[in-house]
Amino acid sequence: MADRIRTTAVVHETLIGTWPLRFRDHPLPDDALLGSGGLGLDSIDTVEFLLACEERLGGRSTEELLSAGPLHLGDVIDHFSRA
Amino acid sequence: MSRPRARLLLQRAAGRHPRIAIGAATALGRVTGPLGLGLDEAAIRRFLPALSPAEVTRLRRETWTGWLRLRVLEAGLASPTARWPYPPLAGDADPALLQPPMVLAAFHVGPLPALGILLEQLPGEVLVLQLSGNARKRLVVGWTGTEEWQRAAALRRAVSTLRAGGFVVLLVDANEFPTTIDVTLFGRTTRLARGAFALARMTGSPLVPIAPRWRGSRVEITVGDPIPPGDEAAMAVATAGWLERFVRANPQTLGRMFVDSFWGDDEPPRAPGAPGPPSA
Repeated sequence: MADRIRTTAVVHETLIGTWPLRFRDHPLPDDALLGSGGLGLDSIDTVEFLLACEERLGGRSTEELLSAGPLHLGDVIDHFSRA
Repeated sequence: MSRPRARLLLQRAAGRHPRIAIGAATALGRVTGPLGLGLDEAAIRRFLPALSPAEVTRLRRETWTGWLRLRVLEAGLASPTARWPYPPLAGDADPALLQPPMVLAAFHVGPLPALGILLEQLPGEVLVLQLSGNARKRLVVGWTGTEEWQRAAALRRAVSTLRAGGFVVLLVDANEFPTTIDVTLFGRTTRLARGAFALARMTGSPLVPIAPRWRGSRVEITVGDPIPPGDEAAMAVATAGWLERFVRANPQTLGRMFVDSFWGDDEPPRAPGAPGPPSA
């Protein structure tokens, strides 16, 4: 649980640090889609965000995660919490 | 003869005897050229407004012949008995000069499917990102899909390929992609797909523009100088400049897909200083 809390903080920091104007005052619930209808990241933004998370949190590549379908923010947090 | 049977016969002929089949397409193009087939005059003038009427007529015939050859090429590539390499390669594009990791930017010009001849000889894994079309046996194809998450998955896979020291090939003049960069091409503002430039920047890989053209019954592949990774807009401008120089030097490589990629059915460009259309 502690790992998930720490991972959530890092994932949120990564998102806000990369796009401060878009996300500084934006709610970031786990069930928000990364793409349209959610956080509004396009395909390139999504990859950039996940690469930044990989760099900060280490662990497994997100290549497989992305292949599973539309991602929610919580999926990303879970992925790195398990890593 | 039914169409499927005719297609099968064309595939066999093109696969087993590529030079003869391409030569036959060339001859057919010459014979039927005066019928006014090929890329229409308005489309040609959108890109090359300074051409004389005689040059436009000649270019139109060349685009018609190019279209026929392309059909033969596609039929041959779909043939399980196609000789390799197919079609024959002309010129001095040396695969060994292309050192991975590298992003290869392709365009809808010339016999595009023939790029595979060069790609199959590259030293390293080659991931071709494409929306549709035939896959060549020796290339790894990543289908981009149409959904946002599918495109993200394809891009992430491309990052892995480049980090592992491979090549990634993708179309840049693809207007079906929503993420684009504005550039000036043939005197007007248009868009290039952003993916290739973002990949180069994210992975620190150079971007190299490539384009094929016919040389008789062979194909020559022109390889541009590497564009160093960096600012995406600057890379896009350099790529558009290379593409415009290539098409001006090889106007016969123009085709309907290229025209539609950039301008669709919009109005042709005006010459500098020319009056605009009357307002409603």
